[in-house]
Amino acid sequence: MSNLLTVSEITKIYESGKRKVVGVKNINFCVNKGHFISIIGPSGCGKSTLLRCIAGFEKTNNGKISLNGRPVTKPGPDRFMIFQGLDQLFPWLTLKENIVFAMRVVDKGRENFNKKAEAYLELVGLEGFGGFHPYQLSGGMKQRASIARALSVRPKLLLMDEPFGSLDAFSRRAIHQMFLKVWQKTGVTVVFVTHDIEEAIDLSDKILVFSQGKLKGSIENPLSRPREKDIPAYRSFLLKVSDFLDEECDGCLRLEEPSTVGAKLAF
Amino acid sequence: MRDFLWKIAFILVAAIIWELIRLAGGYPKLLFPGVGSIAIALWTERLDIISKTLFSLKIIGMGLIVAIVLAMLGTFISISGKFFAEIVTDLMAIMHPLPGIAILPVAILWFGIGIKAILFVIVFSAVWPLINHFYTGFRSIPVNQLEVGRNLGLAGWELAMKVMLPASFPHILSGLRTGWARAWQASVAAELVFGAAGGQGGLGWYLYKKRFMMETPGVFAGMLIIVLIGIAVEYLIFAGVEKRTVRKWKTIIS
Repeated sequence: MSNLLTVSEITKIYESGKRKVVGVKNINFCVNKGHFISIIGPSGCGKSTLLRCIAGFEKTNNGKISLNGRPVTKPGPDRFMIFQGLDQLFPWLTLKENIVFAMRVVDKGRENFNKKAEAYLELVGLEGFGGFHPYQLSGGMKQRASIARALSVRPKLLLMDEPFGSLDAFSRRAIHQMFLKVWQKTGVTVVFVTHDIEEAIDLSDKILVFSQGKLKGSIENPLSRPREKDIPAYRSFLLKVSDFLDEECDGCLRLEEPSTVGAKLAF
Repeated sequence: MRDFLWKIAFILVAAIIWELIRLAGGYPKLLFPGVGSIAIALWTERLDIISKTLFSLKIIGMGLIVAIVLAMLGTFISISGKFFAEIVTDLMAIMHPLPGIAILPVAILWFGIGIKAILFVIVFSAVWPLINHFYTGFRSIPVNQLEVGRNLGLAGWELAMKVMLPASFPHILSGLRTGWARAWQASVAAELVFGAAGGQGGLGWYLYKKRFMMETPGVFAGMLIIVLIGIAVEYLIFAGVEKRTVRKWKTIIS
């Protein structure tokens, strides 16, 4: 399998006033074409920062990101981001119009995209909802539509930043099954950020563990698809991943100057 | 329909109270004309009132178009960089509190007494609240929507027109409402202060003449027309646009 995404020596430092905060430091990894990889780690570990660097929303301080050998410099539809927020669809357009809008911007053609838009809605299980406005949909449906819109511009890489983090357990399970089918059907490569270990195990081929801005390790997922939860292999893998996380992320909550925080709380 | 009946009832009650105050007396009759004489003034001077109204609407429309274009440009410039944002914000802080009518002496010096001076005052009065609203709107767009636009490859002018403009539409709409009200106020105020040039004038000029001639029913008739136009524009234009846009998209609470 060929190498689609290469991340080498990526460092991103945020400057707020005089203080410098490390977002991510010296990150190296590759993603093969068609693979599904997850990035897990506690809040503030830099996983979203890395995703935003790959998307081109953030400039890196050091290192190189390349897609198919070409360096990433700015945002582009070949790497499409799906956010956690339920407000990423354009509220002034219907679902179908949202998709047609995206296709029109990217393909620059005047061709009638309606048929294609409907096909993408059907792909994510939203057939018949093309005429609805985003406010008329549930959270799960909004995220499905966002996935449909992202796929409609035929990206090489889907970047997903806790896309199902705002959903309830039921919609999340349904959307997992739907998304896995869509991933297998389209063959799109996915980099998926989550802090939910089970979600990472259920979905991905490989899990990258982040902590304090650093890549601590990468774990291949040995489970075959479709994944069943009630087998010993699942439970032992879950244990392995969470042990690794516990080890690497012990005490990694980055509280700043705890003494002053305490002093403030005392009054 | 029930709403409409309530509004009619409200107007009737107001007219009755008005008449009661008039009948109570105790002051010169000339200062407080009855509903009937105002209606008569409206009818007998309808042609004059219509032409004055059209003139006012024309000049306000022209001023508003110029002000909207300037405000859009100002907003686009101010979001294109921190340096420009500060300039526009400072300018707004200086100019926004300045009443449009306070600029009239300068306008007369620069453009002479006439339509250009009035236009200048209208544009000045409307452009600052417009920029204020547009700028606020452009800065309160949901970040995710902006980034989806950038992700698709949109940038600059295209991003502004295709994503930022519709995403900030609730603010744009309230900016237009304020701008329209300010433009009306400015045009009437300017004409009330220096009248009209070359025999052409709007409703401000009409009020000025009626006051000068002590024709109080005419004064009230003119005011009534100004109010009615305000209501008409709100119900026929703004409410309609709102219903077809931000209310339909539920980007404002309705």
